Amino acid sequence: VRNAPTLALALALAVCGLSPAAAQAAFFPGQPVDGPSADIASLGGVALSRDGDGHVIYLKRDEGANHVFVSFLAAGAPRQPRRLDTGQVTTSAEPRVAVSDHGRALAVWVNGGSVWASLRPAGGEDWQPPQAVYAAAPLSPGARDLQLSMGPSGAAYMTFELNGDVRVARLAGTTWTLFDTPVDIDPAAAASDATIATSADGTALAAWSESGSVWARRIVRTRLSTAPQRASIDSLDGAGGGAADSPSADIEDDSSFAWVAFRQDFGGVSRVISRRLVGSLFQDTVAIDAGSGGAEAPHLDMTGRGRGLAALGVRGSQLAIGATLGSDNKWDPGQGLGTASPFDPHPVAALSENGRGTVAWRSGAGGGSQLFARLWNARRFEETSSLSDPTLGPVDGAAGIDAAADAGGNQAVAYVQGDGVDRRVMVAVFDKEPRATGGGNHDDWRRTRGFELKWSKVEDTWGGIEYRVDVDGVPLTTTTRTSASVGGLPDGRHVYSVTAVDSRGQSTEGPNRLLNVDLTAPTVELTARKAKVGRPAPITLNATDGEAIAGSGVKSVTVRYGDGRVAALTVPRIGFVDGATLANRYRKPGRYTVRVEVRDVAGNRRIAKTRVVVGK
Amino acid sequence: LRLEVPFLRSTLLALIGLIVLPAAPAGAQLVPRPTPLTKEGADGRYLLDGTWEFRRGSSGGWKGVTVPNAWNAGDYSSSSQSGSVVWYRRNFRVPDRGKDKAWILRFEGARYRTTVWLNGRQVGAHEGAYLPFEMRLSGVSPGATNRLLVKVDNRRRPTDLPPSVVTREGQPGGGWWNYGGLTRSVYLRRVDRVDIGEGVQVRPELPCRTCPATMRFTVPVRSYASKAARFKVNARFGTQAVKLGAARLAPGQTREFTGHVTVNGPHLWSPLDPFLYPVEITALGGGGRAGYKLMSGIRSLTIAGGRLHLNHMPTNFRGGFFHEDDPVKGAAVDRAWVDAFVARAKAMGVTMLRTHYPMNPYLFEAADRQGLLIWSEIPMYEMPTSTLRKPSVRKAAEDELRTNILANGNHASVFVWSIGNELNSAPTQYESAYVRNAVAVAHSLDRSRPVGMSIQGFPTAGCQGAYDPLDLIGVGTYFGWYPGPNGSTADRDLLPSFLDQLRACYPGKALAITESGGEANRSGPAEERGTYEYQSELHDFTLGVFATKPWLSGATVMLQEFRARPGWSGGNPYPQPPVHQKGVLDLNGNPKPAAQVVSDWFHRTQQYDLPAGP
Repeated sequence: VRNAPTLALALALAVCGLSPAAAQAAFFPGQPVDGPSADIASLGGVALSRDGDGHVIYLKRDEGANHVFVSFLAAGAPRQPRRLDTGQVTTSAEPRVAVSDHGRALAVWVNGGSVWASLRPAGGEDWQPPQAVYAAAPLSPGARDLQLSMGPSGAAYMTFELNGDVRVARLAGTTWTLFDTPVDIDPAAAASDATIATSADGTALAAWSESGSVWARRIVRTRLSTAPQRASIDSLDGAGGGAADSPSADIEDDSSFAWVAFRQDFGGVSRVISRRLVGSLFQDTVAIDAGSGGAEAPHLDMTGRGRGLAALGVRGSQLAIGATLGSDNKWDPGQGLGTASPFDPHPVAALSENGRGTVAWRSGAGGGSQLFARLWNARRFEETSSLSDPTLGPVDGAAGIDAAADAGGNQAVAYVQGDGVDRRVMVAVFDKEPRATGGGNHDDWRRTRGFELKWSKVEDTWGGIEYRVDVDGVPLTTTTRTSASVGGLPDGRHVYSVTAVDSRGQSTEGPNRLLNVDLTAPTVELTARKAKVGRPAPITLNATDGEAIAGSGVKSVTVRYGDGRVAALTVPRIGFVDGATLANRYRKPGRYTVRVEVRDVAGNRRIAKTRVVVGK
Repeated sequence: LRLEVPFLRSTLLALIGLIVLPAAPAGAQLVPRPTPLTKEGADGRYLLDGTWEFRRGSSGGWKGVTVPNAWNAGDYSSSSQSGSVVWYRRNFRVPDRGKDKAWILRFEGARYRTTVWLNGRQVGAHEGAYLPFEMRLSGVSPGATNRLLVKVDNRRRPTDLPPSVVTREGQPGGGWWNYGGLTRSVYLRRVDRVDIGEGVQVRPELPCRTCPATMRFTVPVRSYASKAARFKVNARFGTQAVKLGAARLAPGQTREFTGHVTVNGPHLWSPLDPFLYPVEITALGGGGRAGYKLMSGIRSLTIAGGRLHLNHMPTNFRGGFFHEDDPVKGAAVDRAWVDAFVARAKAMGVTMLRTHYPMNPYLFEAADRQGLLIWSEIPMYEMPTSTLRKPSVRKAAEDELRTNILANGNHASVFVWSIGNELNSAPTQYESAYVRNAVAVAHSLDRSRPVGMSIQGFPTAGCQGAYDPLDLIGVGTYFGWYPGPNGSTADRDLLPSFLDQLRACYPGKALAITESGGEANRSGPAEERGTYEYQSELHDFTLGVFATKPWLSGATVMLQEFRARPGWSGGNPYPQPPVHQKGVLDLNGNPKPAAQVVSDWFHRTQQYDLPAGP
């Protein structure tokens, strides 16, 4: 009994010190967006907004021609696809999709040499009818190499190649503006390979290759920058710079800062270079290909605050390389992520705002190519995961592979898999595990057997969080609310925890919390022997509060000696009184009733009395 | 013992200062002159500005400096921003040897912790940076040279106002440079048996624009007589006499005398016509006399229909944010700096000034004279919730607010008491408690002015009930400059809808823009942040948006550059730390191209006497 408070304290400390148990987040293998069907043609792309919504866009043969289909991704799960190029009977090509928060999405494609767009406004469910952004005149050259980007604020830009020039169009609200002036530098030179990225501030950065160089230029609303910059370099490690192409660019929320990665020849060796655009000047130059000769077109993704993830393949070994950019604006040199393979890896990268991202690539041996991925957990690449199911056939790299990330740490990888009638558009996801709940400790002792348990809401961009509540290891309830009631608890310390569970069953247990119940009054033993006037009266007190860990502990002892004197006994912090002597000196002989009131921490009270006979 | 060591060290230094102090340094005026720099104040003020001796830390030699002095002006290192302990000393002789005279030492502001010794004995100590404080000098030798030693410690602590901050790069942070020392004027005050000291309040009441005004006086009078005496207190407001009563006061007793005077056909103060009335207050009794003078303006400040009204008509002021930061002297700005700054502001059409702390007293008076409103704020600046949760911190801020109101409440220019800047944009119970209590403090001391606070303009912040007690909400908007949470303020095109959202949140409160702008330090492409061209375009856009919101009570731009902190970039890809370069005037007051843009907008904006309406 006398060890009880110590034990209780030890348990309390142990309980409070437990960390939440985090589940391992995981890649979830691909599930079909469309198919199996021999009509599946190719992937256009996948996009995820920062708040978690997404779309997969692809081409599928319908009524005798390829047409544009899109599937909404709800928490990463594909919904029933729908066709966007309704009313168009000729073949569509190069579909692209981009998204921003609150459901705003934009799809563009080429049909009959013209560029078409369909908008899904924020807060809406439906895609608007197709609208021509660029209408090709009869017999005039058609648009091609369509690229699309939408910033977090909803502003969007697209580039396309037309007659050897890179053209740009901007969407603000619901209004398109097609720029009269090409983005590229020299009207007489052929420009190609354009890419575009849009900042949160509504500024875009276009990069393209032209006359063997890679260039970049900002687009500020409806104005082209007056300071286009050449990104490709004259030399690297003593080797002269040759032809450059295949730029991939991304831009921070503050459009002052952007990176452009591209491929360039140096003395006959193909390297991938990344350069930082600061204001209107390129500042840093870094090779991010792990020193590999034969590096191919990079794929770059960045957060709004400037962290980055790049993927590229190596010709020959067909190795996929991943490189990361830290918040200090420093790239690591890149590292191989898989093993050599006979298949072009078609690597893609997607990075969430929380700094976690995915690099996915195609690989395999002999029997067929499959899709693999490694998670960048903001410190290192985790082990390789397989995204595709080999029983569904080979992954068709030429049909397109794409990846996208939301802000909260979720990523989606879309691809085409299978041959003949077994062709499918697939999407695999990395679903970030839920965060642990917080708050809700009841570490004070209470005179109740019922508690209202409350905890903090777990924000998850893919939603669907449920909370499983366990009390003393026994499931109490599962709820989507952030509170639950528990009753009928016996005296003592109880432990409860709240586990957040997401829609894919991933769970994270919150820290153990205490519920302390004490409805039992302290136990008091009060004895007295005969006393003499002026001498300390031999009154002895024992006071405890429950067995083992069941009691809150004695908090106060008030003694009324019967002669008008009242004393408050100092109670040791350990919460019990063991053989305390109440040494009152009575001034007159007589019979006195000693009344002791003992209260415990929870507020329970016990009164004990005894009689003292005081003689001369 | 740990407590005693610094005390011993300080005392030892004080004694060293006493023993080894040589004759007054060259240029020092031994007998201070009765030449106060401000009109408001007690009679008998003798300026102790000028040459003092200075040394940093407990070692090294003394050197001559000119007070006001920011000891670290010119040193923009991390150690300078962190602060240090410095010492000042000077000799003086009192200008009046009368044996019944008492002497008070008045600091218009010293940053941050100040301890004072006279002739080797500690006479007082004070904490806080931007407000005047006084201490009685006991032990003055009337016929001899007296030695004053002042220790000033500007090492910032997390609980200071403003709090110490460490940046992500591990450098000392802060929103403006941590200048230290005797940054404002020092006075010796003679008291002739009675004193009218700190806390004089002369407040106007103007029920309607054409009504007679009532001027209410509250005058604290303290007896310094050796025995109980009867004191009579009178005042003049313009040409009108005001009797404030008489009372018998015991030695050392303080009593507030109150009274009022009705002013028929008052000549109202406004930025369009900054008319001021002279006010004189006298207290006689016990064989002594005290006087107090100030300049007062008659005007009303009210909130109606969610708009600020000056003299019962809506305002749409255009203001400038700044810091007191002289290119050479740092925070120890002098009258020439103030006069030039005010002239530049006026020329640009600025009619409101704001900074994060109570301004230099001379600047308050210049604003009164020149017709500039002042947003008077205490340095409750970006205080993190983890610190604000401490009741002692909230109380310190409330005390600072109280002192500001009592020190600066007579200035017609002050139009709002601001209780802070940019606290947690998702207020917790601690921010709520602070707002509630601070507003109550301000209202209890002054019902003639609204109480406000400046918040960050984040669309993600939503509507906050914590701001319910405020009369006026100031918003710092940097759409098109800083990205904000999740890029939410990056796109300037979202500014109009954000302002509408703000109005919908707080329909009954006056709303004003209290900061806006972007950095500029070079010429270059208009799309490049940090260029003059970008700054000009941003201001043109932003001021154009403000002009479309007639319910705004005013709008403010960053007016003049100042030093912020080591490593400051401010969103500029090519910054020049530590200079904060959002001002449209550079550190020397030279205009950048955006100054003309701002000036054009300000001059074409009707700022006062606007028609009533939504």
